[in-house]
Amino acid sequence: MKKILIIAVLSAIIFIGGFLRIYNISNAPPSLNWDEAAWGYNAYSILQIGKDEYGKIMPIFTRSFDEYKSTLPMYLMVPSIKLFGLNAFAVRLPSVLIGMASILVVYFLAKEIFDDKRIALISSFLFAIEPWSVHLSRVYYDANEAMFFLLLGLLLFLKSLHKEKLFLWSIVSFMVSMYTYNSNKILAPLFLAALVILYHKKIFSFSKKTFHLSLVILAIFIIPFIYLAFKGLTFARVGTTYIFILWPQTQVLRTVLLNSHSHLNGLWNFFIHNNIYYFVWEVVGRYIGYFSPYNLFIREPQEPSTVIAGNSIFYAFEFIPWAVGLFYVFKNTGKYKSIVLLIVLSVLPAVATWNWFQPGRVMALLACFSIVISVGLNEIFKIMPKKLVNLCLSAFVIYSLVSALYLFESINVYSPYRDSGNYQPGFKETVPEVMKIEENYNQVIIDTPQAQPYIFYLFYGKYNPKEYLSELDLNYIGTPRKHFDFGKYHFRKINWIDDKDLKNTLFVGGSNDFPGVKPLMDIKDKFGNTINYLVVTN
Amino acid sequence: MLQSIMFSSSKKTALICILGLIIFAGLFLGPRILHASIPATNSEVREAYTTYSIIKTGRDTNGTFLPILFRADNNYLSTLGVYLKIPGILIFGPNLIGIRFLGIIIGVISLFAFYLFSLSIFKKKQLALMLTVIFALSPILLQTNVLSLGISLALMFSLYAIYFLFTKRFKLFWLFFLLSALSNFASIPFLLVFYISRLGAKERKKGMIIISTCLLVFVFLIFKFDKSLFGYLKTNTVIADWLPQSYTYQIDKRISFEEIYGSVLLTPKLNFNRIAFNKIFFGINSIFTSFIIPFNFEKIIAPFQAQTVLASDGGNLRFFPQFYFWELPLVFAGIILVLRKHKDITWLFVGAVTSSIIFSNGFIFFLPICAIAEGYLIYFLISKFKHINKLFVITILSLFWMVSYLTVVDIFLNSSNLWMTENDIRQNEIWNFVRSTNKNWPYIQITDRLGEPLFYYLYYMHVDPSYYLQNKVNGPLLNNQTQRIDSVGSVVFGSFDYQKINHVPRSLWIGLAGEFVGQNANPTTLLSVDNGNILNRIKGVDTPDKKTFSEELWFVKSNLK
Repeated sequence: MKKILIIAVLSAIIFIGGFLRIYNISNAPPSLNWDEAAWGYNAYSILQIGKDEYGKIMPIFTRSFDEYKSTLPMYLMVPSIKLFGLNAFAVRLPSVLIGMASILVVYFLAKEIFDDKRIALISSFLFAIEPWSVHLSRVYYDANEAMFFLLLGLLLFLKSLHKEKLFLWSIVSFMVSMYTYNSNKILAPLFLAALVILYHKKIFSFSKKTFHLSLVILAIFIIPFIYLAFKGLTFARVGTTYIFILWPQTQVLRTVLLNSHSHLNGLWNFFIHNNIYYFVWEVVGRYIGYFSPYNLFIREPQEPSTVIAGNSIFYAFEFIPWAVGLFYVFKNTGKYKSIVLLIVLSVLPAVATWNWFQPGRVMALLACFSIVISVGLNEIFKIMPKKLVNLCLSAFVIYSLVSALYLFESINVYSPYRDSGNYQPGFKETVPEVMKIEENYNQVIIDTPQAQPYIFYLFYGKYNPKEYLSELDLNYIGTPRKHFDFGKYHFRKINWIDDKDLKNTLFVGGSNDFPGVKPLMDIKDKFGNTINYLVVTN
Repeated sequence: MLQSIMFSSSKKTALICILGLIIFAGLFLGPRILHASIPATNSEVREAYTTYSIIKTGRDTNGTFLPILFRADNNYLSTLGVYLKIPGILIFGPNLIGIRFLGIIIGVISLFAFYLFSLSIFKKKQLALMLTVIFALSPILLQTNVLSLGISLALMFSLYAIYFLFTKRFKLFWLFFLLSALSNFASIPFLLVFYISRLGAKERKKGMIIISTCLLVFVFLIFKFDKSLFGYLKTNTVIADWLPQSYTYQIDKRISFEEIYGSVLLTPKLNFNRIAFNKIFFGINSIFTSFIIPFNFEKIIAPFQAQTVLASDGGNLRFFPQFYFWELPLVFAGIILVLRKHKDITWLFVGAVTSSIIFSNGFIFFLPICAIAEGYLIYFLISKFKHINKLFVITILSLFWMVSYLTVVDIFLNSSNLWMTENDIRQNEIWNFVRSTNKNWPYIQITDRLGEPLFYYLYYMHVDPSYYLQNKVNGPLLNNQTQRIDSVGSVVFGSFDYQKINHVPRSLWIGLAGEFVGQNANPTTLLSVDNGNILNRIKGVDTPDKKTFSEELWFVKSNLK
C-alpha cells in the first residue's frame, strides 16, 4: 500500500474516531460523575492557587474521596480548564485527545507486532469505533490514560529492540502508566519485568549508559511510589475493592455448607468443600469472565460508568474474527509473545477485585482484543478467494460504519435518557440555581441520596478554591472524611418537623422532604422530570 | 490409576483398572444419585408422564397411538427418551428411581462409546482410556445422565455413529444417526456436519446437495403436515432470534426515542438513523449474536458465583456448572494443540458449534471435544516430563480432579436449590403438600406465576392418563401454534385474584401471597385471608413477580360453605 494512501486512511480513521469521541461531550454522558467533578475541581484549584482541594501543593496522589486519586488526569485538565473554563467540556477534552492519540498508538503497535499494514489499519479502525474505546474516552477515566501510556510503553519497548535509545522512553511511559491508574500500579511493573525477562538477551546487549540510565529512571519513579505506598496512599483504593472480602467463606460455600451440614462430617467438609477451592473458583471465574464472549459481545457491562445503553463492549460481528485471531495469536505464541503476555497479564489486577467484570480495569486487554480481531479478520481473508477479499473488506467497513452510527445514536440519544442515573444526576441543574440565590440566606441545607455531594457544589458553583481551603477544617472533617460541609453549605438529612423553624435557610431536597410546603422553585431535568425542590424559611 | 493407564506395560491391567473405576463409581454413586432428593425437572415430568400414559393407555397425552414424535406442553419430547423409560416405570413405578435409573446405565455405556470414539481418532489405547476417564468425570455428563435421558441417548448414539463412520460402516452410521435424531434433534446438525466433512472433495458437493435437498423436503413436509412441529422449530431454535419479531420492537423503541428527545440525524426530510435502525442491520446483528450464544462462560463454569452478571441475561438464573472452572484454559490450549494434528476434531468442533447455535441443548456435543482437547494436552505435557516429575504431576492432578469431582457431586446431590429452577423445586413441594393433606379437594386452582404446573401435577399426583384425556380443557390455539391446557377436571392452572372471584366451597387455592391479598401488600404480617384459611406458606420463593406478588407461596382453603 502506498504511504500517502495509508496516511489518508489513517487520517480518516482518526477523524471518525475523534468525531465519535468529541461530539456533544458536554451532554453525553448527561452530567459529570463524582470522579470527573473531583478531578475537574482539583485541576481548577491547582490552576488558581497551585494546591489541591486539601491544600497539598502539586500532589502525586490527591486525597479526593479518601481513595487517593492519580493526579495525571488532574494535571492534564489544567490547560483545558484554563482555555475553556470549569465545565464538562474542559474536563472531558483531555480524555478525548488521549483516546484519539491511542488510535495512532494502536496502529503503530499492530504494525510493529504483526508487520502488516492491513492488520494495523483495521486494528486502528476498530479501536476508533468500538463502543468501549469510544465511551471510555468520552467519560473521563484515568484508565484511558493509563492504557495509552502502557501501549506506548510497549510500542517503544518493541521499537527499542532495534533502536536502543527508545528503551529509556519506554520505561518512562510504563512508569507514568503505573502512576495513572490503580490496575496499572500492578500491571505496568509486572508487564515491564516480564518483557525484560522475555527479551533479556537483547536488553543485556544494550550499552552500559542506557542500562544505567534506565535503572536511574526506574529508581526515580519507584522509590516515591514505594514510599507513598507505605504512607497508605498508593494502594488506598485496594481496601474497598480487593477480592479478599470473599475470604474465608464465599457466599456459595456458605449455601453449600448449609445444605450439606447434616450428612457430612468435618473432615469430609474440609476435603470437598474447602475454602481455598471455592475462593480459587471465584478468582479463576473472574479471570475467565474477561474472556467470556457473552461479556465482550452481548451483555452490557454492569459497572455504571462503563455502560452505553444498548451496547456491549465490542460489536457482535467482531466475535468470529476475535475467536480466529485469538486462536492464531496463541498458536503462534513464540512469534507474538509480547501481545500474548499482555493479554495474559492484563487481567490479573482486575481479578484481584471483587467485581465480576469491570471493563475499565482491563483496557489494555481490550485494546489487545481490537488488534486480535483484525488479525482474525486477516486470517479469514487469507482463506478466501482473492476476488472476494476486497468485496468482503468493503462490506466489513460499511457494516462497521453502520454499527458506529448505531453507537453514535446510543451515546447521544438513548444513553443520556436511560442511564442518566449513573452520572449523579440533578447537580448540574440544581447548583447554578442555588448559587444564584444563596447569598440571601444564612445557610443552605442539602439533602441528597448521592454520596460526596459537596464536590458537585464546588464544581458547578465554581467555588473559589482559596475560600474553600480557608473554610476547610481538616480536623473536623476527619480521616476518613465524615463531614462534607463548607461555608454555609450543610449536607444532611432534612427533617422538616424540626427544620422548618430554622431562620432564613435555603433547603434543597426531594418532594418527600417538604410535606405540604409550597417550594420556592422546582428544578427539572431536560426531560421535564422534577429532580429537586428549593424551599426557604424566613 | 492414571499412572497405570499411561505407563503400564500391560494394557489389560489398565483396562481392568478403568473398568474397576467405572464399576466402583457406578456402585458408589448410582444408588446415591437415585435416592438423592433432587426433584424432577420439567422435561422429566413431561417425559415420565407421557411414558406412564403409553403404559396405561398405549397413547400419548394427546391421545395418539404409539406416536413417533411426542408433543407435550408445546414442546417435543425425546421419542426414545419416552419409550426407553417404559421398563423403569414398569419396574419401579412413576417415581424418580423409575425415570432415572436408565440414564445412569446409558451414562456407563456412553463411556464405552467415547472410548471407541477416541480410540478411532488417536489409535492409542492408553490415551483413549485416559480421555475416557476425563469424559466420565465431567460435571455436564453427570447432570445429563441423571436428568436428561434424551440428551444422554443422543450423545451416546452420536458417539457410536461417529465411530462407525470412522470404521466405514455406513449402514450402522445411518442407523445410529436415526436413533440419535429420535433421541434429540440437536444431534442432527452435529452428525451431518461431521458426515459432510468425511466426504471426499467430489462427494462433498454431491453430498451437500443431497442433504440440503432432504432437509428442505423435510421442512416442507412438516410445514405442510405438522404445523405444530413447524411452530416448535420456529420458536425453539435459533430461527426465533433471526425472525423480525424478535427485534422489531427494539427498532421501534429506539426510533421513538429519537422522535421524542430529538437527534441530530433526524432531519425534517430524512431520518438518517434509519441507516442503522432497520430490519436488515438488526437481522444481521442477530445472526452474529447467535454465534456467541453457546459461549456463555459464566454459565458454563461459574453459574453460582456470577449471579449478578447472569441476572442481566434475564430468565432462569440457576444452572449447574458444565465444566470445572479450571478446565477452560486447558481446553483452549488443548484445542490449539490437537487441531494441529487431527483435522477431524476441527469438524467435530464445527458440528458442536452448529448444533449448539441451532438448538440450546446441543451444547452437550462440546463435551467429547473438550475432553479430548484437555486430555490430549495433559498427555502431551506429561510425556514431556521426566519419570519422577510424571509421578508427582499425575498424583497432584488426580487429587485435584478427585476434589473437584466430589465437590461437584455433593453440590449436585445436596444443593439442588443452587442449580435447579424455582419451578422444579416448588412444584415438588406443592404437590407433596397437597398429597399430605390426604383430601379429595372438590376444586384446586394453582398459579402459573412460577411456571407451567400441568405436568408436575399429572406426574406427582399420578393422574390416570384416561382421566386426563377425557377431562382436559384446552385453551385457545395461539398464532405460533401453541396451546395450553387450562384445566384437568377440577384442577385449574392459572393466576388469580382471590379477592375478586367466586369461591367454590372447601376448595384449595395455591398461589403467591399477592394473589390473595393484593399486589404490593406485606404478606409476612398477615395471618389470614378473607373467606379462607392459610394451610401452609412457603417462604423465599424466587419469581420475577416477587416484588409485586411477594416471595411467599400460600396454600389457602376456602372456608365458604
